[in-house]
Amino acid sequence: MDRKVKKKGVNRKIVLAGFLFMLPAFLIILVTIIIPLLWNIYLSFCEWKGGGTPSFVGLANYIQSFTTKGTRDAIAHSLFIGIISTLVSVFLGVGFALALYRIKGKLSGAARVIFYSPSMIPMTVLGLLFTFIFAASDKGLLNAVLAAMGLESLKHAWLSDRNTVLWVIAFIQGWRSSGTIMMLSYTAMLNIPSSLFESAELEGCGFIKKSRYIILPLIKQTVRLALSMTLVWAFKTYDLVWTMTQGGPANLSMTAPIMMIKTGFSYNQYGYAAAIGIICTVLIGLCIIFGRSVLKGENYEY
Amino acid sequence: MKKIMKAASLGLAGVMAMGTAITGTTQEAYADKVELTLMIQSPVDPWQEELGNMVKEKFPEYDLTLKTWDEGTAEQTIKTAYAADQAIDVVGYWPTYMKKFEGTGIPMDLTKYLEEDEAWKASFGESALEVGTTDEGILAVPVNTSYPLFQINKSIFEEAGIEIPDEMSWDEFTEICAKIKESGKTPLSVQSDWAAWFVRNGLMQCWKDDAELDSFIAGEISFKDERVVKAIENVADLYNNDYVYPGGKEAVTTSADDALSAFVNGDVAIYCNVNGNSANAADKVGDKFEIGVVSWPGMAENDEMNHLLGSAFGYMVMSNTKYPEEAVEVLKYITGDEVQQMVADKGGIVVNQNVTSDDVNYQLYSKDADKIYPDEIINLSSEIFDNIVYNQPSNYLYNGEAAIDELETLREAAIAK
Repeated sequence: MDRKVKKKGVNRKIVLAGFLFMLPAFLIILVTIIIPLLWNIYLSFCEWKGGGTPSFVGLANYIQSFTTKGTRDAIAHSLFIGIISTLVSVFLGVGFALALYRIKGKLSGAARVIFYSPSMIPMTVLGLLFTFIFAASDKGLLNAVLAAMGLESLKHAWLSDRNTVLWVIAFIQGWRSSGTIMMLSYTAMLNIPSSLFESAELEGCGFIKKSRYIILPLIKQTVRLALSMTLVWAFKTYDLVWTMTQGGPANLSMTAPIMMIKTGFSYNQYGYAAAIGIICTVLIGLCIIFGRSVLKGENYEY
Repeated sequence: MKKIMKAASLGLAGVMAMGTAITGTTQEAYADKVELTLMIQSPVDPWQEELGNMVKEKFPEYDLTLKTWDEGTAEQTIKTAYAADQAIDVVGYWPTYMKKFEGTGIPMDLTKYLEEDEAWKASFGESALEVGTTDEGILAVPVNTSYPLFQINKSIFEEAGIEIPDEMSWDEFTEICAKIKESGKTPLSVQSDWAAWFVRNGLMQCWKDDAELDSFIAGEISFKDERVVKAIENVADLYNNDYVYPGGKEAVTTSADDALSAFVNGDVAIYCNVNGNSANAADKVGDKFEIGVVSWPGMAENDEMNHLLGSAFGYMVMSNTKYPEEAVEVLKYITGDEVQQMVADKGGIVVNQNVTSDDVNYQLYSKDADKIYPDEIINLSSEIFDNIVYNQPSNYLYNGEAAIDELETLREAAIAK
């Protein structure tokens, strides 16, 4: 009996110490995430001009968000960029990781730097760089290359056409994130025991079959994590769109974050902007749940 | 070993203590000093560097922080700073658009300071201060007058057999564009941020008299009025007829660099510019070809309505400043004779009445200043401002009548407020 009491006491001390160690991190999260989130939720039910006391307006801001075409379009554009760029980044990232895993050796180090380099470039620099590449005039690098190849008919105003502008932004965003996905996937691949491959090789499996039946199933959990991360990053895309198109022309590339900033800081409708933010948060959450359920499968232990 | 470690620890502790003491002393010294943050220098102004130097030299006793003023983010920066209770003590903004700050409590009312200093007030002239005046007082003071004009490549005009006019109606303008296009050149280049000038000007001129214009500005006339639609259609036709560089409706996204370089390289005949930046563009052209200055084309059917859009850039003081007296002192200096003379010498068209200039171009670049109408429909609400200034004519080009419907919805919302 005495022993039990003593053991309980020790556990309490350990638990208390654990809580104390977590306290600084919790305080930081409380101040930087939880309180602003709660304030944002409160604000989304109010009308506030940035000064004075917010006045409660109920669901008016949410109703306005769903009934205003511009806001609906902006959220839809963000969703499109989020989904397409996530698919691009996961396909490219996992593809690069498989390539790295295949080539190994000295070339692997150089390839790793090359594949990871887009993730190291600041988004604004990347945006400006691609603005020059996709410029509508003959000064646009892509159009100039197409013209030089005799493919004049393919020249296009890439960033001014409603059929191409969101695709271009989504591909750049996806390509940019692919480096991080590659690193995560590659690290997961390195943890796969070599004995699994030896058995497969004895059965006569080539790299494609090994990738399909061993590597990809075993790194599925990492890909799920990467998918959630990239979806959140992509949905929040602000700097890339701002530097490339500023949401234009004619709001063709307007995204939810730009709309929120305009609504808050240009129109002084902070409550409405907060409501758009909350709607986006819920949508991101739903997309993550959907994405993770698609990739749901057995967990393999090795 | 232990002794060495002990000595090293004591030494480090001593250094830290001394550091803390020195920092404390420095902070105390700074606590007595007036700290002012100024956001008054725009990188596009040729006088920005000298402006900063002059202010620093004039106020060595102040601890000045100079931030770069950026047109695209100025409003957000001001509002974010205010929300975070940080003051940008003196900040650049257009007095014409101070209605955007009404009800926010951000700008400080300068009426008292202007009444106390008659010489300062008189330097703005009789009516210039009106542009920054709202129901909340004088919220900003103007320093220069900006309006659009055409800089033209005289060689292209001559080669196309076009006589260079001083002014032109909209029909004359489109005829000229057609002739230039026939000659194999692109008629005009305009950067994306300035494309709305054609629409804004059209919306000021399409009425029969000022009373009707004022009704429109007050939101009493629909955007679906046929005159409004016609004015916007006229502008859209410039793009649909490939008169705007590089052609097609995609020309609404032309960057500032592309628009200017097309003119400088002799690819386009007309460069749409702002008067204050005309000297800069002329410098870039150098002696490649001769430049002419032509007034912005008008859609007015009578002389009374020959208005011109324009604004006044200026400065305000944020109401949360800890040093209002000192901030106003800086404001007086940067709007005063010494600084404004420097600005005028560098090509700026200034409001200050005591400034003179012998430069013949100074007169040329300010010849239409008296045509500026003090109010516009864009001031009816921030949403209408945003829609017209940043999204026209592109909205109409891409979405057709839906763009007019959107403007009408915004007008109704503004009236309801």
